[in-house]
Amino acid sequence: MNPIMVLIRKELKVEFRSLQGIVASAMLSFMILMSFKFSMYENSLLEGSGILWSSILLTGLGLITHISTRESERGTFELLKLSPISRYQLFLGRMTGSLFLLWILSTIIMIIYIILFENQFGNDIFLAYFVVLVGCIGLSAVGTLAASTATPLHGGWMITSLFAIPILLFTVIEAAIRCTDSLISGSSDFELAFMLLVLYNVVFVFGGAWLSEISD
Amino acid sequence: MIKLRAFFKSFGPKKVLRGLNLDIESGEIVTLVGNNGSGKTTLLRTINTLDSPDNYLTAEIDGFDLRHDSEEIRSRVGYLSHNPPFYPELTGVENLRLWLELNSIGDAESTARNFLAQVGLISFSDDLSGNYSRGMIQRLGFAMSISHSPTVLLLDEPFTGLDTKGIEILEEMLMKYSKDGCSIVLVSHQTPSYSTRTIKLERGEII
Repeated sequence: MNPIMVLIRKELKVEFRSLQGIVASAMLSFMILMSFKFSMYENSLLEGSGILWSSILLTGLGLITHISTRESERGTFELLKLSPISRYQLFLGRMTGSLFLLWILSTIIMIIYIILFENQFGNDIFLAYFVVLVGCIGLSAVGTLAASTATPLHGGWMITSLFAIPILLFTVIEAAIRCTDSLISGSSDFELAFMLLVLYNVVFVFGGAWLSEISD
Repeated sequence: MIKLRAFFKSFGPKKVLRGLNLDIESGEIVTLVGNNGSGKTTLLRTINTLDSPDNYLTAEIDGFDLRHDSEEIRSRVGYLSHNPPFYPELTGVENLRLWLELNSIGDAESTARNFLAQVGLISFSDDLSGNYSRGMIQRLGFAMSISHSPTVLLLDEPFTGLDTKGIEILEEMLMKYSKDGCSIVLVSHQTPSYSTRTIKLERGEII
């Protein structure tokens, strides 16, 4: 079996048997969305999809950091590094494993968001969901790269966020918000914003794989 | 076969390995002794590519260069660390199968069960490894270190936590692998009788 597939299967099996990351992240996202719900009611911020993406960004990074920290603390990251697979395969395997979990988390966040803030996307709800799934790719790539670098350090979970959030905010998240906002407002910006989002994803996935390979 | 010449490794200002020269032939069982902090574990971790050496004239495993052929070297080296890593959510056989699949070993399931039988864990193979005792984890770690048929075996205090039966199994297997031509480096505080040579490290130098 392809080593990337082996790593994805491992990641899913480990998470589904413990449910530590998904449950904690889903609860955190619920609390973040509830905080917005009660503190910003009747605020203009609710007219866009920024709250949705804030929740995905913060809890998604938390989930990826949790996965990476768990791997680092147990020493199993070293076990993976000892296997005779390329570093780019290791990165892609870990990134894709995290991505599957991120998709599950994002689905939960999307459902909570719609329950709490009503369906702002109208008939484009499934298109909005597709944008969320695509946006998670860049989030997973940057998060995995940042977490791999930072988690062996003291306070690694915080360093991961400090490193990843600024990079993601002005790239993937901005493009994704433009996409989903255009679905809400019905503007014609969607195609351009979506192309930008895909471009950022491609850059981060290939960049992450390349950096992993040369940093060995 | 391991060949090191003028092999250096430091962590920041601390020089851990100072120009080591070392030759270990196929079939040798070499015991590495030394006080705490003498560089024993660092030497094993740089040979297995987990840590990068600062510089060297020669660093080869079976003729492959440590820096340029790291993937080839990882496929040839088996490593048992002081605390063997494992996934507690996976069963013993799943842990071993994961390792075998990453090493592209065919029929990973039956190979994993075969190795678990060899280390005396077959009756616990479907139990979650999170419920294993320290000695069982050590046996699982040893099975992982040998299961991809390495030509060089690096063992960092392999007898930790093992009961008498476990030590017997491990010693028998070490002698078998040595006869098959595997180079074995054993970090231990005592030199076992079957060891062909003892090397003492002190402050990163062989004395």
